[in-house]
Amino acid sequence: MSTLVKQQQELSLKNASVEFMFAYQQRNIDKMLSFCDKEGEVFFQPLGNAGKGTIGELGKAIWLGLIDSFPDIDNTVDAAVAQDGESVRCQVVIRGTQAKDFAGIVNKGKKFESDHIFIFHLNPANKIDSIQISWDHEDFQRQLGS
Amino acid sequence: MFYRKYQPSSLLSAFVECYFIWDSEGPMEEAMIVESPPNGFCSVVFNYGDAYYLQNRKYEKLQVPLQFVSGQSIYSYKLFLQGSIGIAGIVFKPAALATVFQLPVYEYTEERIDLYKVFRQDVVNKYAAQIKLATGKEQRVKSLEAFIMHQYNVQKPEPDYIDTAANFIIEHNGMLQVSDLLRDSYMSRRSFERKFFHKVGLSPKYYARIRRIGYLCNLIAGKKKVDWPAVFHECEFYDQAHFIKDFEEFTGRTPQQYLKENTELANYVEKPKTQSLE
Repeated sequence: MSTLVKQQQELSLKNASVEFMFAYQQRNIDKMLSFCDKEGEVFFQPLGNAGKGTIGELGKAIWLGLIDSFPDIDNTVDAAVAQDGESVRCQVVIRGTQAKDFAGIVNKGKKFESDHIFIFHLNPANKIDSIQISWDHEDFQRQLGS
Repeated sequence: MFYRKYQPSSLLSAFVECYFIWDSEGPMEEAMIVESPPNGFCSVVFNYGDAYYLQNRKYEKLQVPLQFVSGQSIYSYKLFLQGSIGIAGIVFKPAALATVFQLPVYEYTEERIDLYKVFRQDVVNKYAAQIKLATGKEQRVKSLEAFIMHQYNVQKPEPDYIDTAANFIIEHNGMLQVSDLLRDSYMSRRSFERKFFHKVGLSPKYYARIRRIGYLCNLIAGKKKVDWPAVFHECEFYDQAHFIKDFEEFTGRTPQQYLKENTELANYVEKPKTQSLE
C-alpha cells in the first residue's frame, strides 16, 4: 500500500519567504540574498524615502549594519500568510542587543524586541523581487534609550 | 440541525482530537451564517452537502473546495451556508498533519487547500465517495478514520516532542510559559521554534496566544451577557489592555461588539456531545 500524500510539492511562495527569515536568523546575508532578485525593491517604511532602494544595495547595507550593531540579532517568525498568488505577509518578532551606534541611535547597550511585518513579493521564478518592512520605529528607539 | 463530535480509536488518539458530523438533515429554509474564532486545530473536511462559502481577512467570498485540508486559522472567519449542510471532518491535533502526513503545515496557515492538491486523486475519490454514499453518520465517521488509517498503516508515525509541546499548549488553553516548553525540549530556542513552525504553522508563543483566545471565545459562545473581568481573569491575562489587544487582533472586534454580533455555531446547536466510536 502506498501513502496518501503526493510525492512532489512545488517550492511555494511561503517557503522562499520563510527561508529568507531563517537565513536572517543565521545572520547570513549571502543566503538571504540568494532568495532574492538583487535588483528588486526594498522599502523600510518607517525610514521614509531614505528607506527605499534595491535589495542588493540598500537592503544589504541595512542588514549588514544591523548585524554589525546588534551582533546577537535574532528573529522569530510568528506566522506567514499568503496574501494573493504572488505575495506573503510574515509576522516576525526581531530582538537584539545594541553593541554599536546604529542609524543615529547612540549605543547604550540596551536590548530591543519589536514586532515587524515583512511583505514579500515573488516573481514567477519564486525569487523575492520586493520587500516592504514596517515596525514601530518610535518604540524601537525608545527601547534603545534614544 | 445535527452536530456531533466522535472520539477516535485509541490507535489514533495521539493524532486526532475528534471527528465531527454536521448535517442539516435536509434543506434549510433559510441561509445561515456561522462564524468561528481560531481554535488551534487543523482539519481535513469532506463536504457531502451543498457548496458553501468562506469569508476571512484574505477572502471576501471563497467557494470552499468540496474536500480540503485546513491549516491553522489566525483570525475569525465566517461560513455562508445554504441548502443542505453535510460536512464530515477530522480535527487533528496541532502537529499531527505534519507527523502523520509529513505535510509542511505552515503552508496551510489561513488556507483551505483542495485535497486533490495534497493527496492522491484516487484516494481522495475513494473516501469522498464512501462519505457521500454512507447510509449513516457513524459509517461516515468510520470512513474518516479509514482515511487516516490508510496513511498510518504505511508510515507508522510516532509523535515527537513538538507534538507533545503543541498538545500541552492545547491542554492548558494557551495559559502557560512557553519558556518552560523550551527548557524541556533540550533544543536551542531557534531549533525548537523552527521545528514548531514547520509542524504547527506558527511560533509557539503566537500559537499559545491564539489558543487562549479560542478558549475564551468558547467560554462566551452563545451568551448574551458576560462578566468580562472574571473571563479575562480566568484566562490569565496580565491586564485588561492585553486582553482587549489580543481579542481585537484575532477576532477583529472589541469584546462587546463580538458578544452582540457573534453568530457562532453554538447559537444554532447545543454544545456538541462527544460519542465514542468503539
